[in-house]
Amino acid sequence: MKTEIRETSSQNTEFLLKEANQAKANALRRTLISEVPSLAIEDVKVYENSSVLFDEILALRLGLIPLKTELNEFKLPEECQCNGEGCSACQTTISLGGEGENILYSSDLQTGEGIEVPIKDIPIVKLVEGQEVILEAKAQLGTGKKHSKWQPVVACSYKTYPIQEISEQCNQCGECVETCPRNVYKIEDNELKTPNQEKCMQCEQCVEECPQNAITITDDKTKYIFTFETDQSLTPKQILQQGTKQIKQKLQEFKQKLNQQT
Amino acid sequence: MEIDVKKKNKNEMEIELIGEDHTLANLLKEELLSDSRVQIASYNKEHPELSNPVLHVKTKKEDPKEVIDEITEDLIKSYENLNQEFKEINK
Repeated sequence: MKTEIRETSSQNTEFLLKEANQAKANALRRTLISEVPSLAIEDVKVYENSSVLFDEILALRLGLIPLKTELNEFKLPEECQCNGEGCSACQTTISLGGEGENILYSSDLQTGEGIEVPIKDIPIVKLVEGQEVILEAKAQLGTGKKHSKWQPVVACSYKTYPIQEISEQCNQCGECVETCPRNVYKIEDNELKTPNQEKCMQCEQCVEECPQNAITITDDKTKYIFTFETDQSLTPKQILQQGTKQIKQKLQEFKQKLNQQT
Repeated sequence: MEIDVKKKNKNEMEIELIGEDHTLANLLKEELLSDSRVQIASYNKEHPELSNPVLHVKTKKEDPKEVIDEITEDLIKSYENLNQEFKEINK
């Protein structure tokens, strides 16, 4: 498989996966969503909560706040030498405190060294005068398979590479240019061209509108346009490298076990 | 990951992938199907939450273990390549 990186930022990542097939692309997509670990708050100890939110709701809101993760610094609790009981190798403590009249934001979280909250303006709870919140939380690594709070990607998807085949019957009437919602077509020098070929969503409206029946929509099943956004807990590079590493390790383990058992 | 070889004879094999889901099972199935030596390749996951996928492979005459081994090696190589390519991203 080969790639062609189109765009990388913390918000959007787009790349073209070449010499692939649907199974390979889907395995990568599923791994990015459910197997790449990231850090999130798991246990919350509430010392004081006189706000309008129940402790459970507060804990849920805290869990969903993305935390910047250095994957080398933490271990998954189930792989840790403490057997998941909780130690400094698999856990970090985060605390939150405040009283009204105030709104507590994600930037008010007191984190340990090296832990950063990338999105600062997530409101957690609104306090009025006399209300107070004091709590201590433990954050640990986990995967999206268990809970979506540990999912480092959002809107992770791919589409096949669209191809618009234009036959010789085309008389440049311009119906397809008018009707295409993604502005794929353009008439240039008396010829119908497809400057926005990749934008096509294969709705086949152009096929229906064309009076000459000159257009056929197909796709290249070896090429996939992959897009995802991050929740800023990991960078796109970390996510993609970790994802591919994880599929590779899983296959290696499978191969090794197969050779042992037969 | 653990595997359980449920059935093995001259040209047929059934392997339970313990603790795995469609990610690995579907990948292996599709790659096996694209090989000309393979007659049947499929997997079954009886219950979406409670059971493990069971991969079923039947070859024309070759040893199924050899075929699976080769296909897995190819897949490892292609994901290794992909991993190398992603090193070039600068963000």
